[in-house]
Amino acid sequence: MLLILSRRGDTTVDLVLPKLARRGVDSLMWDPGDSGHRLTATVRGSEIGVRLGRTDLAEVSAVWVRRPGRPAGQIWASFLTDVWELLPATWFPCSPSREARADNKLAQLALAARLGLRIPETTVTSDPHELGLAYARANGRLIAKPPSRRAISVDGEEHLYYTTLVSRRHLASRHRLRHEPVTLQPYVEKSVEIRVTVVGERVFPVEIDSQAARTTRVDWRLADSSRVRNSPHDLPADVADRCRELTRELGLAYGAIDLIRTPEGEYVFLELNPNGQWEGHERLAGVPISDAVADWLAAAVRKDTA
Amino acid sequence: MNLGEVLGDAVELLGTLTRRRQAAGAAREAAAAWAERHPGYGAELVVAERPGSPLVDYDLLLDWPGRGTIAVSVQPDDGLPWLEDHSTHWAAGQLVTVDGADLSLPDALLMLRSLTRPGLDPHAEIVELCLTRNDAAADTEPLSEEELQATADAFRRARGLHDREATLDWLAAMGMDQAAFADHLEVLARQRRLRRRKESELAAGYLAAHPEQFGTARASWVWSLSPWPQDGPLPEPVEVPVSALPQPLRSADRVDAARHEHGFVTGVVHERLPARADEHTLAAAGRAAYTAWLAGRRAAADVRWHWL
Repeated sequence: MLLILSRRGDTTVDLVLPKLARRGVDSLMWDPGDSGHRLTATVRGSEIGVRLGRTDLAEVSAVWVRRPGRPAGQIWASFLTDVWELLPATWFPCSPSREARADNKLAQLALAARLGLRIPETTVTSDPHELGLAYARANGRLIAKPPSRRAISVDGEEHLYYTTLVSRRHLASRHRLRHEPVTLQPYVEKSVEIRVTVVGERVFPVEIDSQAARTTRVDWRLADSSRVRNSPHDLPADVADRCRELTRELGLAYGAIDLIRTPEGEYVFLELNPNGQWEGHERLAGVPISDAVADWLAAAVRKDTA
Repeated sequence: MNLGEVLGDAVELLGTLTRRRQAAGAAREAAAAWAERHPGYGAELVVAERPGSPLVDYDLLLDWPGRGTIAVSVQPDDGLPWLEDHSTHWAAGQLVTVDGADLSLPDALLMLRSLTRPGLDPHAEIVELCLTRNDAAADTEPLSEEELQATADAFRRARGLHDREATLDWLAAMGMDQAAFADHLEVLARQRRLRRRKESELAAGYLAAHPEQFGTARASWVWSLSPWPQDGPLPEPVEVPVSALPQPLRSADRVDAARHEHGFVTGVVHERLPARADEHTLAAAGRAAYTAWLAGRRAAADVRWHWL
C-alpha cells in the first residue's frame, strides 16, 4: 500500500491518483496537519505499531510526501518525524528528516561543482561589509536571494522574496544583513531558464522562456507563471546525467533543479528543490511527469525501484 | 548655519520619517517645515515608492550653492532584515482572488474587452469570468478542432481582427506571443463549452419554473421623447417574445406615457400567449438560467480584491 502525506485538495495528488489506480496501487491519503489524532502510534523497544484509522501502517511499503500540514503541537511533530524514520517503507522524494539535509543549498552547490556542473560564485553572509565587496566583484550585476525558504510578513501581510538585482541604493541598507544572512551571486546572463525534474532515473527538462518579458528576466516567478512559455528542452546528456547523480547523491528519488543556459550555451546550476512543484510545468510544457511519478510509486509499492 | 550643520540636521530629519506609503504625506510636511528652518538650500523631499511594497525610501535634495546638488539618504536600522525590506506583497501582480484562484493584472487587462453585460458592474462581471475561468482550468476533456476554431473566429470577429496581419499586430500590441494566444483561446473555448453545457442542462427546468418570462405577446407601442397623447395613434400589433417588450409592458397590458430609459413608452398588449418549449424558447431559457446560475455562484464565491 502507498501512503500519501498531503493536504486535502492537493491538485498534484489528484492528478496522480487515477494513474496509480490504473497501475493497481492501493493508496491512503492523510494530512498530519488536519487530523493528527486519527493516527495512533506505539513504539516499544524495536517494535513499532502505527495505525491510521483502521489501517495498520505495517501494510505501507511506500510513502509519498507531498505537502503535508504540520501537526498541532511540537511533541506530535517530533514524534511523527521519529516514527516515520522507523517505518520500513520506501520514501518519495525522501523521508522528512532527510529532506532538510537535502535542501541545504550550500551543500548542493558544493556537490554540484564536484559533479562538474558550473555554479555561480556564491557568498552567503551576515556581514554588512561583504555586500559592497560582492557588488564590486560582480561589476554591479549582483543578485540577492534567501539562503533558505521562510515565511515573510510585512505589516501583517504575506510577502514573498524574489531574486532581486542589487542596486546602488540597496547598498545603503547593508546593515540589514546583520539581522539575517543573504545569498549573493553575480547575475548570470540567461538565454533561457531550465527546470529539470528528476523522477528516479528519468529526467524531464523544461525550458522557461523568462527572457521574453521584462518582468520575468530576473525571476520568472514574479509574473503570472501561466504566461511564461514552458516547453520541453533538449538537455545535453552529460548535464542530464549530472542532474540524476546530484539528486541521487542527495538521497532523493525526486528533485526539481533550476539551471540557467547562458547565451553562450553553458548550463549553470542554481539550486535543487527536494519537493518542488511540477504540475504547472507538466501542464504548460506537456511533459509526462505525473506518469513517471505514478510509475515510480507503483514500483516502490512492488519494491522494485532502482 | 554652515553646510556641515545643515547636513547633520538633514540626517536627523530623515531618521525620523516613517518609511510607509501612508506616512509619505506627513513626511512631506515635516520636510517642508524643515526647509523653512533652513532657507537658501532649496530643500526638496523625494519619495520613492517601491512597487508591491508598503515601504518607501526618502532622499532630501539640497542646493550646493554654485557647485551642484546634494542628495541625503538615510537607511535607519529599524531591525528589519534585508529579505523583508526588499520583499514584495504576494498579490502585487494580482487584481483579485476568486475561490482561491488569482487573476493576474495582464489577464485582467485582457479580460476588460470581454466585459459586455450592460447593467452588471465590471467588478461583478470580472468575478463571474474568474469563476468560469476556474471551471475551465479544471476541465481536462480535450477540445475539438471545431470548438477551438469557433472560439478563435468569435474572438477575432469581436475585435475586428479579420486577417492574419491584423491578429499579429494585435498580439504585438498586447505583448502576447502566438503560443500564449493559443493558451488564451483554449481557456475561452472551455468557458464557451461550459456555458453551452450549462445552458442546455438548465434550460427546461428554468422554463418550467419561469414560464411567464418566455411567452409571447401581440402588442403595439411607441417610444417618444415627450409624453404620447392618450388618443394618439399606435402602430399595427406585432407578436414578440415577452422579453422583447419594453419593460413597462412586460407586466401590464396597457401603459400610458410611462417613463422608460430616456423617454416615454405608450402601448397596449392585445394578447399574451403561453411559453412553448420550442428550440428558440429553450435557448432563451438556457441563457437566462445560465445568467441566474452564475449570479448565484458569484454571491457564494470567496472574493478578495487586492488593490481596491
